[in-house]
Amino acid sequence: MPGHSEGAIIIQSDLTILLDEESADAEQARDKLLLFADAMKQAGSMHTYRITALSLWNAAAAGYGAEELIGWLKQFRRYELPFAAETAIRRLIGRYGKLTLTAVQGGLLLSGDAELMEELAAQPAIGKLVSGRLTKEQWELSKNRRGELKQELTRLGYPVIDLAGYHTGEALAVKLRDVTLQGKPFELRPYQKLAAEQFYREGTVQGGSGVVVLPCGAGKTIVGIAALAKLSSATLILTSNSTSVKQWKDELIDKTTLKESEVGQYCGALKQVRPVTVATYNILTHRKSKDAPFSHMKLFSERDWGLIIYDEVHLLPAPVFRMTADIQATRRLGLTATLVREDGCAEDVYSLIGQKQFDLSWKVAERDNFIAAVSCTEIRVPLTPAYEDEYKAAGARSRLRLASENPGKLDIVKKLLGEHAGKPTLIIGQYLKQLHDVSRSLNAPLLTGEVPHEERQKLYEQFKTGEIHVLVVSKVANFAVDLPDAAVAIQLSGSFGSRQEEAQRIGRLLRPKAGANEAWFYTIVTDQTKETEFALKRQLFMLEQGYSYDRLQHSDSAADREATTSEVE
Amino acid sequence: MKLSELCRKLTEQQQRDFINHDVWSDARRRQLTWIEALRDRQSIGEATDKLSAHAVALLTEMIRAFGAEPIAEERLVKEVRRRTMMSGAECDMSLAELERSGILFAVVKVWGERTYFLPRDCFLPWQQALFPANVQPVAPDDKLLSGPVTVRPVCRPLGKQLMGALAAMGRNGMTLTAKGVLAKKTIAAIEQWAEFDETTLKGSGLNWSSREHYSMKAAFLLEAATASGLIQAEENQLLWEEDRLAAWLCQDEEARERRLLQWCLDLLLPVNAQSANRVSALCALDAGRWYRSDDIRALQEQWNPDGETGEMTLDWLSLLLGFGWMEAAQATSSGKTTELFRWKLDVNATDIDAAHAIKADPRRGQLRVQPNGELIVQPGCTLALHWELALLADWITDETVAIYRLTASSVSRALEFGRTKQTIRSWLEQASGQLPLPDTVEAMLEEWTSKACRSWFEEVTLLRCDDERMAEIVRSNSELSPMLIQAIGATDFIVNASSIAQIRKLLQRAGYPPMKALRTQEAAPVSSSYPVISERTAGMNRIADAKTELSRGTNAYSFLYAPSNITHYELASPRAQLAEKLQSQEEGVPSMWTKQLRVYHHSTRKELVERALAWQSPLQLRMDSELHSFVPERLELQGGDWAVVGILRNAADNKPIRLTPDMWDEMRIVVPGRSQP
Repeated sequence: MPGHSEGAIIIQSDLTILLDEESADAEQARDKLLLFADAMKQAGSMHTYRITALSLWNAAAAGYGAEELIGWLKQFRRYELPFAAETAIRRLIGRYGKLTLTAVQGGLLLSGDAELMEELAAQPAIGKLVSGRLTKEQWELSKNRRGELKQELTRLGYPVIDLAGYHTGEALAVKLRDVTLQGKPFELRPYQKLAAEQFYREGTVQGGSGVVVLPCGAGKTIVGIAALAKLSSATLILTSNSTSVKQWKDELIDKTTLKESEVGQYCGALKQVRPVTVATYNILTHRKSKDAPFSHMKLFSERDWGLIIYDEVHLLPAPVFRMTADIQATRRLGLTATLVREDGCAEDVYSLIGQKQFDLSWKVAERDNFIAAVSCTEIRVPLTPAYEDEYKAAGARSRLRLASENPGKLDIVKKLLGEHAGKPTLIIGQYLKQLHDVSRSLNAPLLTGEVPHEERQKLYEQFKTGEIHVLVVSKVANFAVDLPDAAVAIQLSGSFGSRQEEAQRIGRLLRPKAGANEAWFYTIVTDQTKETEFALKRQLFMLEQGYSYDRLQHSDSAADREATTSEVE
Repeated sequence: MKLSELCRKLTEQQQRDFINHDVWSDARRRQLTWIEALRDRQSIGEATDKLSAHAVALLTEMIRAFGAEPIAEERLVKEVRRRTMMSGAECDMSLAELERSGILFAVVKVWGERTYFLPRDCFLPWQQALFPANVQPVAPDDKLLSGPVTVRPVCRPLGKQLMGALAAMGRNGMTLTAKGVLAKKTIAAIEQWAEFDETTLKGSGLNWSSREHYSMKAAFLLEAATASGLIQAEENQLLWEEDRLAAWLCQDEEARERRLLQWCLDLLLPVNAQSANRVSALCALDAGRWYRSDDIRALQEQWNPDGETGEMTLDWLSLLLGFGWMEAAQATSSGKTTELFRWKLDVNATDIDAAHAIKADPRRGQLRVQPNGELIVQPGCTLALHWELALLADWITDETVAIYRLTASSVSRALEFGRTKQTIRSWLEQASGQLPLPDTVEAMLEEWTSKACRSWFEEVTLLRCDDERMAEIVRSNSELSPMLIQAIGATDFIVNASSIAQIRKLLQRAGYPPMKALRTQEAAPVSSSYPVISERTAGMNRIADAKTELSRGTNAYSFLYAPSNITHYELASPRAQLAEKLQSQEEGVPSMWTKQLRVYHHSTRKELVERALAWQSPLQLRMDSELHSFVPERLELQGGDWAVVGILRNAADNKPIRLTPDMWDEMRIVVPGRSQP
């Protein structure tokens, strides 16, 4: 094995790169890496990046050549650059710009040099999509095969420059405002502008469809609105719940020239189909019986949409997945903070919506003050003695619930509310009975799915204005609830080991704060129970984003009813 | 047979005689012993120059036709004569020369026939000296390498595959079933770690034991472990040779892999001549440089154009790729695809070179513990570190760096094998250069060790009494009572299994002889099958210990049947010099028959031919004023006439021709090794 240097990066032959943040030239290496690799994990001192075909093609589109990238890898390498990695970079970059897809009357034309086309001809998955081979260099295919072809080519590692263009959809006059309707100055943050441009770039393999990953609170909605304004076409926005529908509408009207009459809400009792329509995933997947057709799937064709935005794209349900495969000529933008699907289908999102176009690291956003700095703390409390026997006798599932609903958590909540008095605080939980109890005990309003829409809006408003400081919320608050001034979140219970839920809940706090721009996240778990095990799993996503959890032990014995906390030894 | 095995059959005097032979004169001047000379490429080159042309020809043809396979004398001589036109006497003389100089050896089989062999570990240097492979590497700046290249996924080195398999075996249990084989799940776990292709290995034609239970992959890995002295079979289980295992895990990676390569060569070289020659050519190539596969194929055609087809051949290139010692790529240029390969292992380096190889940076520790439970292992760490990691973490990848991950199940597994939270924590801290563990990892360990393995089943020996009165007799016996470790209820006592005999004697003496049979006796629990290597390797530095040479296991248990095993045959004494043999036969033969070319009468000519056939000597014939060397093969009689069939050495081809006595003028018998007239 060849010798090693003090370089900051270690390159694996599968194009995974480890960056040693303790190395003297880590910063220089990172700056270069970000030009052609995606950040994957930022836990500890060794951060993980991955070079993908797409990240290389993005670099190629930006004018970087293979030798330049290889040169940087060699410059910062600690150990030998694996030949497999070197050749893969050359091969993938070498393919960039070799294939083009253009529209011809009634169909599409795939063009490339004869050698490359011969390589593709050997791929059965491609062959079956082609309707005719006009010459060695040009093949013909049907328009509706475009999505499949691009997916297959991307999967096989052949980028195609898509010059066929997208379906433009119904034109819509819309611009971003310089000053919002509320009278505040408004402009896109640099990364929001970049994300919107990355999505928009026409004429390249990346343009027109893809996913933008931004930390919670970093303004994903704004990126969606910016894309809409750039395209100026009728847009269908799909999001996770009705609260979020309303917020999208409010944001659109506040920050663009769209009028109230141009933005429709398609959920609950409202079924407005307007030039910009915001709907929930739920309503799209609604059907009268198990075998009946989806009643509202027709929404995809009810207007001539030029753009579909998938908010919280990691929640995309399977029927919408299938519909998405059929509308590849329409531009598609996915927005998410946590492309972690507990069902392991994250790759499917990329293949159907499009590859990741933009990814802003949570810690980078925090460093640049675009999101608040959050301190995460896990506090362990003992199980209330009265529950111990019941816990011991219970089955695995019931045990988790008993541990989650441990009444002993309430004392800690009170103590934390005292510590952060006056700060807008969310108390988040999974179980309604627990939330009702806490709400009663604290005399704080409770927001669940049972609360009527108007009442919800009223609560949001009161919370925003500071009329109420504490809001007890169920899992409806996991997504798209835009509570601008929440600075403290106390998690009482959650859905098993869901990494994504933990991140989304922390995300409720990340919107930048005036002053010190700080926020606090507490997760209270019952010690010596199943809950601690799930808590560890839940924290993994945040750990890999570079966050750490302080751990406190709350001792509460019969002899000492005074709540105390001490660091775990 | 390897040189070390051969040496055990030779006296010191014999070894001294070998080095005193003329062919080793240069080595002798450099004060090398015979064994050293045989392992020294320079000495072998010099010996090649000093050997007679016939001896060189015989050795060359032996290697060309039979590779490293031991070969019966008759077959050897027949093949050499067919290929070289050498006479039987010349072969005889060459064999004597090679035997007396300690290059070629023979064992004697049942009926006294001799089987010739080169010591197996001498095959490569001799092959490379006699068949120099002038294969040029691809220049680093060749366009072939900077154009479109696809590199085949690289396998982990065989040593790491073996370690993974051993760790899996330790985790799954080493008890043998009633059929004397490992349990199915253990075999399956072993196989999972074999990255090499079984079909390629089957090309070796090797046979193995318990075929219905073990795949060839599993048998091969188990054989490698046995040959490395890491495991041994005992009654109903395989046992670790813990000290050997610790030493093996601490070896330098390059040195370990070279030893494994040598073992593979030892095992697989005799399979087939063509593949032996091919792997020898591969072993002569430089590490790290790319070569074209076609060049190696061309060599084979050049060396053995009429090589037999259809015989079993072993695809060494694929095998070496599977063992992670080589990597392969496919380069495309101008529409033409070229297969390339290169050594990742420096086959010809010494263990001293290995001392300069990459080592884990001690300032950083060997291991980086990440807050998410990932454990990143620096390159250059010994397998001892991987051994422990294979128990307490799940393996994710192993390339430039290896990555493992702590999980609830992996930590639980470690507890199962006797590790504790404290030992895991200390070990991780030590491996990471005494850095404290991240808080989250502490929390993970706390969580995962707080529930699992806090209770256990233990097999203990009970002294049981049929009633409380008998128990009281036992308890009150002053000699016996100190041996009772703990009372269980009113009638049973835990005792040490090792005290059974003594307790039995005391009870007998007291007039209460216990039952003779033990009620139950089961195998040791699984959890003892994963030794703590770090305890044995404390203070053990990287080992490049020549004593750890791999060999067939010393115990009778073996998983693979070695081909052409001649180790158990008796070593033949060097054959007599031809001159000595002929001495007695020359009586009554006119000296002019051998010394001078003369014209003889046809009947005398026939006598000379008959004598040459008896001696297997060539004849010198003057035909049309030109001298020819003729190797007679047989005499043909037809009525009163006769003719001799044989090979005319300077003919365009080596096909036998038929000569009648009127076809030459003068003649003489050429006695090989005797100075010319």
